[in-house]
Order: sequence, then C-alpha cells, then structure tokens
Amino acid sequence: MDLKEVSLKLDETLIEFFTAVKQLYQEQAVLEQYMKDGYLNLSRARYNMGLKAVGALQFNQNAMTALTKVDVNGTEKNSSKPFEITSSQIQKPSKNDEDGGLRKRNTGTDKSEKIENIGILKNDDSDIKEETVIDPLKWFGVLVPQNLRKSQSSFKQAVESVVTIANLKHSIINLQTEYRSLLEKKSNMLKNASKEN
Amino acid sequence: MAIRAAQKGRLIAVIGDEDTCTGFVLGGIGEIDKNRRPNFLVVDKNTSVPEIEEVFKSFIKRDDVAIILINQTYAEMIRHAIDKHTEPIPAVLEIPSKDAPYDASKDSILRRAKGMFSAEDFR
Repeated sequence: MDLKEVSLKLDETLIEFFTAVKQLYQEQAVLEQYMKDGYLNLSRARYNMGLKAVGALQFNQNAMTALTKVDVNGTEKNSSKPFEITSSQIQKPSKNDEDGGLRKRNTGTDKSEKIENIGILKNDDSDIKEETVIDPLKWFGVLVPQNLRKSQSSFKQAVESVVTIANLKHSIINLQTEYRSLLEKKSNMLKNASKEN
Repeated sequence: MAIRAAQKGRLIAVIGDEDTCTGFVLGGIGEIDKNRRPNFLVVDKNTSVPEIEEVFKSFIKRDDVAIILINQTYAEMIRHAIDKHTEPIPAVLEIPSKDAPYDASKDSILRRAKGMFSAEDFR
C-alpha cells in the first residue's frame, strides 16, 4: 500500500466514522422520543389506576422471563451488526374443548374415566405453564388502561432502537481503531520518505 | 480486547429509576434467573452509589448480559467504572431519564471518539 492509497483509505474511514456518528445522533433522538412517549403514557396509566398501581411492586418476581433477547454474532471487526434482536412470541395457553364448551351434567360416564381425564388435564396444564411466557402487561391487571398498552409498545420500540444504537456504537469504536492504525501507518511512511530524501 | 464467543439469547440489563425499569420490563426485557438474580436495578432515593456500582460490575461479569442500559444521571455517579469498561460486550448504553434529557457530550463512547482527533494530526 503506497502513501496515496493509505491517505484515501484514511479519508474513507473518516467519512464512514462521521456518517456513523450522524446516524447515532439521529437514533438517540428517536430513542428519546420513544422513551418520552412511554413515560407520558405510564404516568397517564398511573393517574387512571392509582399512584402505586404501576411500579416495580407489580413485577412478578416468581416467573419473570425475557420476551426480547439479543443474539451476539461475534464482535469481529468485519461484523457490522454484532447485536441482533430476537423476540419470542407470547403463547396463549390453548384451552381444551371441554373447558371452553358447555358442561354437561350427569352424562353417565364412569368415574374412573373422569379421574383419568382430570389426570391428563392436570398434566397438560403443567406443560402449558412451562412453555408459556406471560405478557408483562398482565401483571398490572386484566383490563389495563389503553395508556399502559401504548406505553408498552413505546418501550418495545425503544428496545429495538437501543439495539440499533449498540450496533452503531460498536461500529464507531471499530472505525476509530482502524483510523488510528491507518494514521500511524501514514506517519511512518512519511517519516521513511523524509529519511530517504 | 477479549472477544467472547457468539451467543444466542442474551439479555438486556437496566439500571434506572422506577419508571425506566417499569417501562423496559413492561417492554419485555425483564428476567429473573434460576439464582433469583434480576437483570434490572430500580434506583430510588435510598440506593447508594456503591450499590449502583456493585450491581453495574456484577452485570459486566455476567455471561448472559449483552447490553447494559443505564440512566445518564446514574452513569454520571459511576463514571469511573463505566470509563474503565472498554470491552465490546456487554455494551454499555446511556439513556435519558424522566427528569433529564440525554446529553451526548457526557457519553463515554462519544467523549472517547472526540479525543480521537488532535491538532497535530492535521498539520
């Protein structure tokens, strides 16, 4: 690589760096807006439901599982997006037909059969409990105000924005190290050239 | 730079005031693992600075955490600990809080980026 090539690469890296910084500022503004909306709707929900009805005390401490997680695809220099968002779907427990439909009394079935059925149902329930992830909105009640739902969607978007910001910051750090190494290379080349002259 | 292997399904941790934690946990990032360790810290007026620092350090050590979110107000309190953390994973992000907007000039990464250019480079 000669001096001209290094200088060109240096310029390219610098332009990339500033583009990334610009994107970062834009994404930060987006995150701030989402969070602002989320806070506002959270406060409105608190006004509707009561002062202590929306807060950390309502968190389900026994079964809290993350719906949104992040995949890390290695942090090598060439990977522009090391963080990738993965969200698991909320599974609604499938009800058995017998629970949903009309109940018939005195149908004349054997008691033993009934007991067996109950046993099977119990097993099914335990399986469902293991698999399902409860929507955090349910911790605050069944009929929650619309504002709390809006707040939840704002914060979900904020999480997506956070992952984008993490990727941008990662690429900024990488570009920074690349720029430094190129700058060092260039200064060494300049020194050598001046010695030769 | 220590590079940890690629991992799937890592968590986003939060250190923040009650509204920030409630919001993000409502957004679906909250988890309490088998050892009953939560991935969030609700900071209130009774929480001391060493306590915040300790939790921050414990999040850094955890293998299942990919991103740590911290309100910029609290990040300011433990700036030395945040500046010390230079590894890419977990990524530490400063976020605005209900009371204070985000100030880019205080952000650790952007401050580091600012120091990238010195007057000597442009001679």
